[in-house]
Amino acid sequence: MAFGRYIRRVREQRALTVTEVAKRLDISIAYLSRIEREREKPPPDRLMTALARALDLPTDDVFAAARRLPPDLRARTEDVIAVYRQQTVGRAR
Amino acid sequence: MTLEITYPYVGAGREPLPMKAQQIWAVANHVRRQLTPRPNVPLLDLERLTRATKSMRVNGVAVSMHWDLQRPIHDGSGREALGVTEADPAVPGMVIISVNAELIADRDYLKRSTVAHEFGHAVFDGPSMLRQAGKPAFSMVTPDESHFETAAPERKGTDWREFRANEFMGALLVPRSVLQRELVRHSVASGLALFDAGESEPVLRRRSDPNRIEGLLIDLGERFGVSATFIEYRLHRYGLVH
Repeated sequence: MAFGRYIRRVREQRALTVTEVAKRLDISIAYLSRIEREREKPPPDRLMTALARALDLPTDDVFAAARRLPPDLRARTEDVIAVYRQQTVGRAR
Repeated sequence: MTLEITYPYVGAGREPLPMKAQQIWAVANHVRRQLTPRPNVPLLDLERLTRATKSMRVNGVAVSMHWDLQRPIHDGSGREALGVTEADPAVPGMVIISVNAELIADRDYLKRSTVAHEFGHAVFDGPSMLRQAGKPAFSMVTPDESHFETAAPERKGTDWREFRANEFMGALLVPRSVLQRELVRHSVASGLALFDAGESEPVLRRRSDPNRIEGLLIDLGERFGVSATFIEYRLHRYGLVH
């Protein structure tokens, strides 16, 4: 599922309004609305983390929904790929 | 403060009926008088505009407005746009206006034009946007500055929404009566002779000295906070050029 639609779905499941979440993140209603409607790209890391907190989601899930590695793993991209390859090879067997 | 705005519309969808430019100017002048205690002062305060337009009643429909003037914005295909006016079913009753701060940079005249143009969309298209609740969010995108000049309505293929927003923008920022007063003031101060079109209608002579006309356009542009091109276009639209 696309990032914006994922965020909108979770927010609605939590019975939170756009206005409430925008206020918690200290961003405009316009910006959050446009992210949720896929008009803007997923936000910078700082806001992704705040979004996870506001929606009570694991931070990794939010980054995964944006198809982006969490910041702490980004410096170790080679390791992440290696582990992934090992796991997929293991699964294939 | 709630702005009260009325104009002819059709049915429950609240779509505006076709309007002549003069009717749109009258709506803009009515709004301007509500926005500022001194509507005859040329420069309209942008801060005041965005503050005072948070709540409107348009043809009896309550419209709350949210302004975002801080961020870059994009159209549906990812290209940067100057401004966008939208309604989102997740935020009922609200028209959302975003103006691209990065693209505008420090060009105050461009910010002023974009804000007034998007405000025009909210006034004329806002009520019908809000009526589309439940359907995919509706938006009007202003890609660039060339969007601010829409062909006259008698020409084939006129985009009525853009025509309304542009005439509203023009008359809100530069009302005809104020422009004419400023035209006279400038001509008296600079010695630029005007043409008497009768019935107290002093208008600019098209064949005046080009340098003087250029000086006039620049001076009036600065007084209204818009570009010289904007003033030139308004003079023609208002029939203030002989």
